[in-house]
Amino acid sequence: MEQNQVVKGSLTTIIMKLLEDNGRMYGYEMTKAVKEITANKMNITEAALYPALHKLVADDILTTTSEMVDGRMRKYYTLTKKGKKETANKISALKEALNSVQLILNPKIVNG
Amino acid sequence: MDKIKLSQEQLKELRYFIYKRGFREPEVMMEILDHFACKVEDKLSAKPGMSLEEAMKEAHNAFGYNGFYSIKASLDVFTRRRYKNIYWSEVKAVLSNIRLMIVLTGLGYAVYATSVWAFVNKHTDWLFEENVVGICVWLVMLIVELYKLSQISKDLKKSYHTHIARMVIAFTPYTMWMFLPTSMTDSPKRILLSSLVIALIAACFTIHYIASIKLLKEAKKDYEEFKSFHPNENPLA
Repeated sequence: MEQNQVVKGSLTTIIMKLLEDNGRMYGYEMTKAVKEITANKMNITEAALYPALHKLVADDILTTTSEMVDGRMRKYYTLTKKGKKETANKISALKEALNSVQLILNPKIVNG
Repeated sequence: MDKIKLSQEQLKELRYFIYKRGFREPEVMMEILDHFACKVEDKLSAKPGMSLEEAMKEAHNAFGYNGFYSIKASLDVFTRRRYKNIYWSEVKAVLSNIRLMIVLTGLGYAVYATSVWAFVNKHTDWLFEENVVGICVWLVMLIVELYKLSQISKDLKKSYHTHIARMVIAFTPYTMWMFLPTSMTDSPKRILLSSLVIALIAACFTIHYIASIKLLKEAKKDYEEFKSFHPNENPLA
């Protein structure tokens, strides 16, 4: 549960990273990928995933294409040119933030 | 473990399940359906003895307290935001088009000069007895708006995308009509100000018209893309 709170803040970066690695994905595939990569430790809920995806589309970070799969319409998300550029920035910002948190959680002992 | 795929009959039941919960626009239903169907398929694959009804209930519960509503709400909010972005980027494109700006300045100046002339010579319309140029601008705006609406076909009027696009552009003309100063006056300062405002509104309305046509075209494109996958109007078909 606590992990999900941490995920919320970095959800857009996670989505962008997944799309950078996989090219194009659909919503359910993303939730499954996160579960598999983190060995079920992280779970993206639909209530968080779709607003994030729709926002990224509105901001021209992602674009969508639709296909008929198994008798239903499936929407695939892909990074736009702008999105590809933004992904690198977002990932480095998240890494920096995580490093800073690490420093707080594991402070180095300094002889004074 | 074999992955179970839902049949067309089972998908129909899923559509009905979504429909019963109030999500009736085909575009919204399609946004929910694939994710819901994937979840139901996974439930059925994990427990092959499970009934479809049970799997649908469990999959729906997994969507959380608000159920499918969070998907619908975010689709509404961000489709509106995307359309607003399209509208404003078209406004910017018009403002940075020198030829169009020259035409608009000419139009604005013509409206301004004739409005001053109507105020000074007390040319009023026969019905409201207000500045005839202001009333003409008001009428032209009304006719253009009605023409624009008449150009949207019946199918498009019902479409989710056109509905959202129309919500984005609906209030601009009303705001302009509200502030159109047409009352007659003798004060030179008020004549100057009123004529300037009438000219500005005429120019702004022209820009608004160009941007709204662009937005309605984009909404039509979205609708046609959706229709190519879902030609039937009935969301349950």
